[in-house]
Amino acid sequence: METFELLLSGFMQAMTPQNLLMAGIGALVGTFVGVLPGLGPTSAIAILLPLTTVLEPTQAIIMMAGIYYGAMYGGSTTAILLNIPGEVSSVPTCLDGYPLAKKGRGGPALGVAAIASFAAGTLGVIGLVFFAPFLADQALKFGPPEYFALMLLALTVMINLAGNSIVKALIMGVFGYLLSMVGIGPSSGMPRFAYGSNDFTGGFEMISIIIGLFAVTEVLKGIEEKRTAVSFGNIGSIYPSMADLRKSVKPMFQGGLVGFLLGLLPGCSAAVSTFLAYDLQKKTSKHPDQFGKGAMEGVAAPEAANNATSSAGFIPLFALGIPASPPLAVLLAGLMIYGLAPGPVLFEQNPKFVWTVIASMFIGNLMLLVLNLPLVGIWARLTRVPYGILAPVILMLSTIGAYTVRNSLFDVSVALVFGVLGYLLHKYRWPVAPLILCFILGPMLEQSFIQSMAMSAGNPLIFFKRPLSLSIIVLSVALLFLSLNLMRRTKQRVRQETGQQAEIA
Amino acid sequence: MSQRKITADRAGGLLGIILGIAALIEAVRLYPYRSSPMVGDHTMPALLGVILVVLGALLLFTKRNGPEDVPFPAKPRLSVILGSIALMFAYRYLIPLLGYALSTLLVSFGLFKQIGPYRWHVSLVFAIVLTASIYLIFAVWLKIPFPVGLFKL
Repeated sequence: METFELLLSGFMQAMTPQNLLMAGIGALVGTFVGVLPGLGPTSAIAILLPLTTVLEPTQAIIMMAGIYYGAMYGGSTTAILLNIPGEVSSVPTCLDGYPLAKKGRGGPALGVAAIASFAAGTLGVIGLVFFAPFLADQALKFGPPEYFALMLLALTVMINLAGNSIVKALIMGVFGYLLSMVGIGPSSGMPRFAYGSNDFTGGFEMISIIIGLFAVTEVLKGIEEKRTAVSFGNIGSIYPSMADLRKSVKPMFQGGLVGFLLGLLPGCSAAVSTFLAYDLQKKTSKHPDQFGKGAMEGVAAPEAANNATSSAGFIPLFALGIPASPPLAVLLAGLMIYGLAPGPVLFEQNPKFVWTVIASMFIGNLMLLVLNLPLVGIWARLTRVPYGILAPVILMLSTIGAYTVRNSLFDVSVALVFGVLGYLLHKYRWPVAPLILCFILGPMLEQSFIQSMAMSAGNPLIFFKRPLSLSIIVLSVALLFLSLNLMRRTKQRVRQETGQQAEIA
Repeated sequence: MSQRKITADRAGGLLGIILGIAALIEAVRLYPYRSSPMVGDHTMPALLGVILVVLGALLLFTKRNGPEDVPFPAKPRLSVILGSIALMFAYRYLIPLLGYALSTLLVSFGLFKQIGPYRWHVSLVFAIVLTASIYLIFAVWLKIPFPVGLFKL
């Protein structure tokens, strides 16, 4: 009952004109950058994070959540109209979305994608309302050993972000942890890994690293590929017919459910759920032969799964402090900038904030539907913006964005160095997502480990002696095997569909 | 061709080992400031140093199957990439020298000219619009203090 009261008060807060405006701007900006070639949700949130510093924490997070949702939807637009999946999770949408676009039915396909995203996103947020407080209640029993076990659980996320080699992913993760330790040591107050440099003593700013690895790297990749503006034919009416909607209802709910349940697992990539939802839909369909040739169900199911996974990802993020994907890791970084510690105590210490953000997600999903359907034509036209204009704009915004966090030119250097490093890592197929995840979680991991050691007089068995921490460790191991299995299956499917080896992150 | 990829992975493994050793050296340096043998700023660097050395060795000495070629772009594209990187690094050092306005105008002009590639007057118009837009958002709206440089611009 208390949950509903809190949610209701969250709605009251979220419905203030300013918060509504932030949700609207976030959804629009997110869709805008999602449609443009060269900026994904991760780099978009990272670049825009400094811009939100003038806002209150709640407004800032509402806006960033809107950007996240919007960017995910923007990715579907290019997948359907141009056969360009911005993320691996959009590959299944291409399979039937593009054939529909070629038949002149791109508009209804985009409409169904928007409605499926809305339905599943709402389903995901309803789940968040029920699950997150339950998890948070359990987590109030947490001490340092349980927190450390939780960090181990977060490490299973790394397996999902591993790309083609687990050893490389682990090295990148450990490298990320080491980078997070540069600065002043928390126990002794002594400089650590500073090597006499004042800049290093101040530590690395996570936003600069994220801007470098995602935004700058992405531009360098874009210049290499010589991305060009692409045009497409007539997209037809954007409003799906009743027949289209009737066909899409079951796939929407089936896909939404698959996406939501998988999204609950910390670290389950949206790519896993979209492929599973597409395959499940194909298997249970009365006309499996239509799939791949332009079946509306083939658009509705993966789109619903994608959005449900994105929404469900907020549950482990808010309740446990574990980000399931790189964009959520940046959101976590955003929460930390505002002094909010995601995890069990967030619900206790900042209930107003959490429930306002959750309520604003409902509103954000509705806004996406209301704004995107009429604007589909404009979004589609945006794909024609030449890369020769976009690339310099993104590079300059990235540089200024990195500078503004601490008004530091050192941070600009860090962003540029990591931009070049990210490009080389991409060429040699070293995954960068584990680096970011571990960089963000590094301080929490160290603090919980050191406190546990202090509690147990240096005995590492403390993690196995406490029932809750032991349970989490067992769960981590179980999830690790499940993740490995799901990833292997998804990679096989991506290879079947695209003929390429997938880097799922 | 495939030899290059194997070498790159092995070089990565070697780099991992070097980083691991650097972490272990830092752990040894910080050990005297500990609260107890397992509690202090040295603990995590030591632990991660060992893990990094082991993982680096795994990558260095494990035989890998089916490596793929690592294609770098042809010379004209590569020079655009390298030129853009050089311009961005130049920007970082020009800002304190020339101030925000002049350095942003110069570097964005260079980027439009190089990546576009647009004619000089088109690039100049784009650069002026971009410089003014960023100034309005960051300096006027967000009140971020930018360096003014030698010309107080």
